[in-house]
Amino acid sequence: MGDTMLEIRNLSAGYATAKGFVRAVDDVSFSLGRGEFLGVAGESGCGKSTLAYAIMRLLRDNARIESGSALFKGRDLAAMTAAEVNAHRWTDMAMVFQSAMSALNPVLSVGEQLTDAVHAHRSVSRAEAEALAAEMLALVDIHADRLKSYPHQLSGGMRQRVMIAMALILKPELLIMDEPTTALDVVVQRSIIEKIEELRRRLGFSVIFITHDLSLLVEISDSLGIMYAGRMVEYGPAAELFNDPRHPYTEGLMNSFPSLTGPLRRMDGIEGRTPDLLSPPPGCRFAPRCRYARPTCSAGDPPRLEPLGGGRLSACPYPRRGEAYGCAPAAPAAPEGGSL
Amino acid sequence: MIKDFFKTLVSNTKSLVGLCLLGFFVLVAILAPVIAPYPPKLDRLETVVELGEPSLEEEILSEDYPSDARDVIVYRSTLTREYEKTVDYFPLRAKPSAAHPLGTNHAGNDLFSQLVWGTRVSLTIGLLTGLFVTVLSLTLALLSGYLGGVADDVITFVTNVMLVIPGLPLMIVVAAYVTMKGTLPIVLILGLTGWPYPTRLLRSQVLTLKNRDFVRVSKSLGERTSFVVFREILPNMISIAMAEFFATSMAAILGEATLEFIGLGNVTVVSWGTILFWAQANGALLSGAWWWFLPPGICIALVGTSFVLINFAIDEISNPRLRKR
Repeated sequence: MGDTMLEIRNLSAGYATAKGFVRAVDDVSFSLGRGEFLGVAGESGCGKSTLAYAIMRLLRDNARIESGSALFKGRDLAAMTAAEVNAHRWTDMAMVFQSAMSALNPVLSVGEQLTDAVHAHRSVSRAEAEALAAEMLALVDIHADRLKSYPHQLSGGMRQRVMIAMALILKPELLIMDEPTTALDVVVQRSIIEKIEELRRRLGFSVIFITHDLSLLVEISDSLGIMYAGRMVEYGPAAELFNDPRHPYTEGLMNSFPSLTGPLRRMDGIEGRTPDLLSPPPGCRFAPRCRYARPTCSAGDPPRLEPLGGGRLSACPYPRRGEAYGCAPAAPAAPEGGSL
Repeated sequence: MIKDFFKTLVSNTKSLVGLCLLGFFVLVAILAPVIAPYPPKLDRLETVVELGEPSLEEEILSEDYPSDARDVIVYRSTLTREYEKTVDYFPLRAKPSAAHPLGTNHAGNDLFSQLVWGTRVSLTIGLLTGLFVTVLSLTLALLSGYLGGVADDVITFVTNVMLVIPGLPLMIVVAAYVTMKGTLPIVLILGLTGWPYPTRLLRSQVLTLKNRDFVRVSKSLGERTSFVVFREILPNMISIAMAEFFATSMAAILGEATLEFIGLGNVTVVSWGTILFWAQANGALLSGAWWWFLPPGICIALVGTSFVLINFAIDEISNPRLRKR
C-alpha cells in the first residue's frame, strides 16, 4: 500500500434542482493508498455514485462540486481546468460504468471502441492501437477474435470485462468502478471480482469499488467506507468493520444479508427510508431510523467521523465498543414501530 | 463497411425488390430520350419528302426561249431540290393505340412520352429534397440536441412555430411568392417547409443518445465534441436519418405533385404532377380517361413502395443487432 495516492478532503457535491440544492455528497473525507482496494457501500441514493463522478469530474450539467478538495498525487482534481481534466482522466484514473450495455456504443465494434480510447490519448498507429486492444482483451480472458464483435454479440459478463479492458487500456493508476456487477448474476459477479483482484495484483492499480452489495466487498476490499445520506458514517479495514461494526447503520447493513458460514439468524434489515436530501434531518441523519438513537442524536450538526484507533473511524457519537453501544437501545421500538 | 452495406442491401429480399424498383425508375429517368417515342411536348409529326429537281416549265424548254437564259435556268434547276412538308397533328384526347400507348392529352402530346420524361423531374425533385431536408434537419437536430442552451431554445422555438402552421397552405403561400421557374425553387419550397418534423424527431433521438453512458465514456476520454457527435452519436442515428430521407423524398414527390396539381407549380414543366394537373383540368376523371391520370398515380405509388422496401434494409445495416450473424 504505502504512499497516499488519492486524498479526499471535506468534499461536498450535489445537484441544483428546481426545489433547491441536493447535497448528495456531504463533507466526505478519506484517503486511498497506492494499490489499495477501497469499497464504498451504501443504499441507493446515498451519494456513492455522485462521489465517484465527482472524483472523475464527470458530474452531470446540473451538478457541481461545492467545496472541498480531491488530491490525486498532490494535484487537486476539484480545481483542475477542463483541459487538465481531459489530459488526466483515463490516463491516471479510469472508470468502469454501471451498465456495460449502455456504456458500449451499440453500432461500433468492440475493437473500434478500444482503439478509440487509445487514440484519444496517445498518438500511435492504428496497428499499435489494435495490438494494445487485443492485449487488453486477452488480459480479461477474451479472445482477440472478438475485436470485430459488436456489443450485442457478447454476454453481459463479457461486456463488463470489455469495459474493464477499456478502462485499463491506458494503464491508469486508479480505477473507479461504479456498481460494475450490479446487472450481472452472482456467478458472473464472482468471476468479474476475481478478475479485478487478479489484475490489481498484477498491474498494481488502486481501486474504488462502489456497490450497494456489501457482501461482495467484504472479502476483496482492504478498506471499507459506508455512506449514508451523503455522509461517510464509518470507515476502516474491511474485515474489522465487518466483524465489529461501530456504527448502527453499518450494523444494520451487515444484518441485511445472510452469512454463508456462521449460524443462521434472523435478518433484520433497517426500518424506514433514507431521508430526503433536500432537507436532511438535523443531527445524525441516521437518527430517525436508529434503534439506539437518543434525543441528543437528532440535534445540532451532523456528527463527524471520529477516529476510534486502529485505523477505524465512525460518525456515531456513541460508537459501539465490544458488544454494546455507548447507549442502550431506546425503549424497544418493535412493539410500536412494527417489525424491527 | 461499404461492402457490407451493399451485401446487406442485396441479401434482404425486401430491399432487393425495392432497389430493383427504384433502379428501374432511375434507369427510365436517365434513358428517357431513348425510351420515349416522342419529345414530351410534341403535338405533331412533321414529315418532309424530297421530290427531286424542280420540273421546268415547257415555255422555258421550248426553242423560242432565249437559249442563253434557258441554259442558266436549266443549270440552276440541277442545283436546287424541291421538298414537300406534311404535318400530321396528333389526335387530341386519343385513347391508347399503337402509335400512342397511353393515348394523348388535350394538346395532343403523347402521354407515354410525358410519363417517361416526367420520371426525371419527379425523381430529381424527390431525391434532392430528401437530401436537402435530411442534411438540414440532421444539422439542426445535432446542434440543438447536443449543444442545448440558447441554440436549442432558438431552434426548438422555430421548429414549433413551423409545426403549428399547416404544411400545405404554407407551401402554397411560399410557392405563390417564388417567381423563379425550374426544379430548384420547388426543391427549396418543399425543403424549407418540410424540415420541422424530421428535426423534431431527430432532436429527440439526439437527446436520448447524448445521455447514454457510452457518450459519457467518450467524453470522459477527453474526445472532442465533433468526435463525440460524429463518431458516437451520428452512427446511432443513421437508420432514423435514412428513414427520414426516404420519407421526405416520398413526401416531396407527393408535395410536388400536389403543388403542380393545384396549379402552383410550373405547369410548363412535364412531371407526374403536371400530367395530373392537366388531366384534372381537362376532366379526364369525369370522362374516365384512366390512361391519362392513372399511370402517373401508379408511378408515384411504386416509387413510394420502393423507398419503404429499401428502408427495411437500411434499418438492418445501421443497427448491427438486426443483422444476421
